[in-house]
Amino acid sequence: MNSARRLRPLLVPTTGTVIAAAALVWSLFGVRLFRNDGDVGRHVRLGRYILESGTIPRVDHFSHTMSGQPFVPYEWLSEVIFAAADALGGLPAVAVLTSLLFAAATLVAFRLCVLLGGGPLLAAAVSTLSMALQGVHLLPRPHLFTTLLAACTLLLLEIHRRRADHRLLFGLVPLMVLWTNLHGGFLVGFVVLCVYVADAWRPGSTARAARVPLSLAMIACFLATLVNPVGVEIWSHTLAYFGVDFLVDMTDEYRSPDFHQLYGKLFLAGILTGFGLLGSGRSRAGFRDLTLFLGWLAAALISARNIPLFGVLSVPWFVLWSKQFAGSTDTTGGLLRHLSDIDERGRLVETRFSGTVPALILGLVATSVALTVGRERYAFEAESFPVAAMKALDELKPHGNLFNEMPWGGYLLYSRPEVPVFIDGQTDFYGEELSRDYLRIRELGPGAFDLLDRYSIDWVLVRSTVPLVQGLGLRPEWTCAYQDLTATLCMRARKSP
Amino acid sequence: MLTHLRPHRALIPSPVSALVLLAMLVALGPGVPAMFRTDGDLGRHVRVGRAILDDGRIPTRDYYSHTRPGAEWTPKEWVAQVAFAAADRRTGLAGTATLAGLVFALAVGLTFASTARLGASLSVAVGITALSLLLQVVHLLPRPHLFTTAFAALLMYLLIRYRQSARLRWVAAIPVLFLLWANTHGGFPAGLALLALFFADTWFGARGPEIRRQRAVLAVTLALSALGTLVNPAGPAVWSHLLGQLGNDFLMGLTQEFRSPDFHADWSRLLLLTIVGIGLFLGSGRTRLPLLGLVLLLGTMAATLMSVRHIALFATLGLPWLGSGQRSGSSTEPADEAEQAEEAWPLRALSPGLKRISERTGPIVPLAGIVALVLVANGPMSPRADFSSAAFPVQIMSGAGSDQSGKIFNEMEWGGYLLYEHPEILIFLDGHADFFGEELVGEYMTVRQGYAGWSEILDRYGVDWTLTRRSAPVNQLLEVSPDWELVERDGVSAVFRRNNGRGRVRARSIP
Repeated sequence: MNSARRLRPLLVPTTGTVIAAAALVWSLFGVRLFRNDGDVGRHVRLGRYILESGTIPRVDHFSHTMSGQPFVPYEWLSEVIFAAADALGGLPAVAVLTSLLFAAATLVAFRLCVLLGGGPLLAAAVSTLSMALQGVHLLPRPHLFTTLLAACTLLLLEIHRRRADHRLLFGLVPLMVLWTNLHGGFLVGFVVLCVYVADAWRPGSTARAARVPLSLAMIACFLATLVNPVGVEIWSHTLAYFGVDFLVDMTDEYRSPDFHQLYGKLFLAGILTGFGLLGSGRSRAGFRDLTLFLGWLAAALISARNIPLFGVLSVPWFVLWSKQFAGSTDTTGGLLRHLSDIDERGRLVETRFSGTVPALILGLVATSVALTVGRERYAFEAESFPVAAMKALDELKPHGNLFNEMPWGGYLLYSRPEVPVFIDGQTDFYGEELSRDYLRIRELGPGAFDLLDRYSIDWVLVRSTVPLVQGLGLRPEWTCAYQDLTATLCMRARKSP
Repeated sequence: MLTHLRPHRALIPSPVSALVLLAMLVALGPGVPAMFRTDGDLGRHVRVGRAILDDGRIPTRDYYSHTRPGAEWTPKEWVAQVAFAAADRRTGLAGTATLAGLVFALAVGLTFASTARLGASLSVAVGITALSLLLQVVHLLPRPHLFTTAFAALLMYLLIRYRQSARLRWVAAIPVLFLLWANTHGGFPAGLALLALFFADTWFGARGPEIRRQRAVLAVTLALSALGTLVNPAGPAVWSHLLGQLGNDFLMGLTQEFRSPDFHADWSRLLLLTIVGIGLFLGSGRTRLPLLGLVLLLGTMAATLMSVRHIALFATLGLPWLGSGQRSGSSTEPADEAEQAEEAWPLRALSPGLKRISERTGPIVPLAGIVALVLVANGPMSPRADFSSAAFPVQIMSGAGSDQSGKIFNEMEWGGYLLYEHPEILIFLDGHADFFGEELVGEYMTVRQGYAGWSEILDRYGVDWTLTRRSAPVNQLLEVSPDWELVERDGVSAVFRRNNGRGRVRARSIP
């Protein structure tokens, strides 16, 4: 009897575990993770190289256009993790890893909502919005670590704010060391920390006691970012990318959100909810919540890839503002306050349970199902990638330099590791000039055929719909030997002079 | 002694007239080259307007393209087209720019009037109007949508006045306004939505017989206004046409101004700052906007995020409410709204000075200024009001391009320019995508982008020559194709001609 009573908190599912489980199941079975982004291929290939050679590459080994050029390995650790997952169970294992990271970030966002005063209803509503916004950019790539670690950083700082236990800040240092080697988004953590430092130092701050500890933590975190294969260079490399407008503009995910799309409408719902709560006049935002909300709102308006960060760093504050809104005195607020009371009672009930066992069971079942039946589901999709063309590649055996579709670079590095690519999605490495040349060739801009000669291109593998295919069809020195609805493979019949 | 030297009060411009003057100055100064830098649609509007002025009839079929000759089209902007054609007939493109400037300045003036009426202090109203002016400049093009901005600003001003005074005279003219609006631009549903929001607002807040009367008056006004929109050459079909256009994702996605704003562009930084600034203002918790104001502010902001062309409505219908806030925590109607709103703004310190100035002002200088600006803009000293040779095929069409005959395949954005400058050419299509339809626009894209099937489409339409941007992918294909030859190429455009040219097609006159 006693042991059953002791086990009960572990056995009863909580709202947090339900939300995290929903995130896991949705990301595993509701999202097409390998639909049109091939970059995971590059990451796995680099990770494989590191695992096999035991060294972190500092020059390019994977393209014929940039071969031997210096390369900054700012994501090497996540690439090793992705490669290890791939080695364990192929792309299904990569999908499971992706879903676990996504579910973990959702769970942390939920914990944050609870910490900010939300009961199960309010925290579930707000963290579901947060989850949906994180799902906007749900791809098996290193940025998922940034979303998770950003949520962890905020949670840690909020716990520290409440407990005033400065030892908690030590946790930020190893977190930052990990982050710097996992993804270039470590700057996000630094920005969040800066907001808390600024909040502590502003006149009239209630966090004055934390001024020195937070400032020391910021310095320690900066030093922690230097623990990586290239040291301080990581800062200049990461910041330099934002200065190259062309590369930022040509990368789909760096563009401003399209509010006509479903993800844009979700984001708009998030913006309007936040502004509506603030504009009600019943919620009064503090320095840190308003700065984080508006800062990541601006970042997400500039680049859609920041929407998940808006989801974990801006949206949780809705809990705080909703509580203030519900606590106001007029009729509508009174009704909401009643709901808030119910939510508060639920919160007290939920504190008795942790829901660990059902969460573990569901996690294990979901991942087992994904690993067992996932070979076909978790694969690069033939509608978007030249999967069928790979057979033709084996038969025709084209040789020499390849010109390939940019998003297919990662796919080729993954499935045909012996083929050096022209370019892949790592535009920060390939640089502006090569990226412009790629576009000019693909879109048949002025001088496209001269560029094919200059790069000594012997064969071309691009989407069947791109203008280049039509152009090559009119040139006698080129033969298009294979074509399906997705890809066209053309080869040079004779060498250019 | 100095008091004797003070100018007469009639000579000192008031803040609002200074803003209107500034708007005219912006529109007719730096605004003029910008108006003709990238957008050629004005050409079509002037061309249609010219036809109406000449024939005294509103065309309901197409006479300007060889791809859809005789096809029915909905003349939803004919009044604006006549106005632009009349202005063009008087002083050419400078006249159209002047008309655009006047309508723009009217919208700015009405924005100020609404902001002040909503309770903002003078300085806050000037600040909000200045911001509104800058945001409206983003979409300042000599096109019929400017009338929608001005009409929307006028409608809001009338509704605010009615809400505050409950006098019928403020709403009596609204159905007539809608009658005019439905013939001037397709944006009139936005006005009906605004009217419906004011009507809906009577169900919230204060109650009593006076509010019930206002509710009834607004309901009648709404019904009459909706009926007023049916008085147009196409009747109720104008509604189905507009709704069909809004529901067509392909066409909406294709039209630049219907897309979401690109926050990497220089112009959009002001919009970003405005949105963040609104967040800061609301988050400060110092004011509480009325529900109607909050709905209009957030609604027009959301509309702008969906489609950048709504930025002018955000500037004229949304921003003025920022000056209408009550102090947070007060649940009663403010006794002096202006005083309360002032406290929310750092600009308030300027108010007494501005107030003093505005008490000693007159209309002479602003009126003289506007007349002078109009004269200068249309005189020999005016900034050049011409389609930019850096964006339009001006040079090539004054040379080899003008010698071409037969059916043309033209760059979509250049259709209006060709209709204006070369009325003898029947175009392939222009920016009037809702008329040309998804299929033809899709075919145009296939050819221009060099997608599979480009050559067959050119054959099917019997195209004899092409006029596209130099960088258009199809030019690379035409260059290597044995069926086509390059006629001329400059920094902007390229002309290719089929080897077996046909006879020149000339525009038919309206029967």
